[in-house]
Amino acid sequence: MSPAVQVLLVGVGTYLIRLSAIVAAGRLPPPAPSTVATLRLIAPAVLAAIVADQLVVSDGGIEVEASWIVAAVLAGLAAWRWRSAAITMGLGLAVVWIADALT
Amino acid sequence: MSTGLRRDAVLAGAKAATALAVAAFPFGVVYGVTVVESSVDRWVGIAASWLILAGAAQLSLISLIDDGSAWYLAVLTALVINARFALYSTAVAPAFREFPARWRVGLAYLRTDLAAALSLARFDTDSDPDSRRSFVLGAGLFFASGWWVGTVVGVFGGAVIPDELDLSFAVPAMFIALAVPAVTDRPALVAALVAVVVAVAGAPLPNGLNVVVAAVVGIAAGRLVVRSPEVPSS
Repeated sequence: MSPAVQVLLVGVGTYLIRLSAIVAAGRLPPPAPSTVATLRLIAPAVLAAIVADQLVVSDGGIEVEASWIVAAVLAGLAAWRWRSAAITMGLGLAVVWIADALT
Repeated sequence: MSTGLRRDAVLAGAKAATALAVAAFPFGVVYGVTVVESSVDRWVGIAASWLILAGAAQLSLISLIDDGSAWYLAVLTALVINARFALYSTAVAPAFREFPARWRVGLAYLRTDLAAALSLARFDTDSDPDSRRSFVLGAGLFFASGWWVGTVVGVFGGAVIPDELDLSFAVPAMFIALAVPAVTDRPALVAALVAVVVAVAGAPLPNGLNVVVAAVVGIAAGRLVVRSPEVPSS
């Protein structure tokens, strides 16, 4: 099957995944408070899993780069303190660049 | 139900997404360069950024096509990587109930990790449906633009970017900038910490399944804390 068709299939499938619960929710009564409490956990759980995966997981194994861990911790503290994406990312990248320059 | 679009909220969404869109740009460039270096036609690679709009899945799809994998394996792997969008879809669904139907189906297209996280944070402080969907549009469109422009630059001009400029940490940094503010109380902290442990422990799982499994286990763990009466949750 041609690459163009494969891209199209993934595009349509991904859109349907994105749409899934939205369509269902339009036909259901408003969610109970306990359901809302669960839904609020989705973003922190998914995002934290992605961060961990990107920092240390590589090709099915664990690969730890010291400068990345230090940069991630400092960026995390900056995100907690200032709640600013620009400061968080700027600091993280700067730490990695400085570490690369020193080693 | 009004259909008014709130310009101020669209701009607020774009502003909230600015730093993240700037980070999506180098990620898009990396993807664009990957396309050029693969056997996949560059226009197909660019079209993927419009049709799929999900970096990790696109990188996986291009590399599997380039490796000559069976088409159904390449397609299924990309869809498994994108399974997390079903979780975001569930998370934003209560707010989306208030939107007109065509907005629900239109905004679903723009749902990336980043736009979903920004939208959920906004919903905490903004209860007006018109303002909410305007914000989702602004944030989603602005973030996606960074990815689209990055893809085109990577495909047509990737070679001019100096090798010394290491931007690989931009992507994890982008997710840290989103993950930390998403932790607003103790159940969320438990969900995030458990998800981190399971994502690392699940490293050997194929096709990025460790992320999906980690998210589900993390949510379940956070839920236990919500239920337990002796632990205060704000």
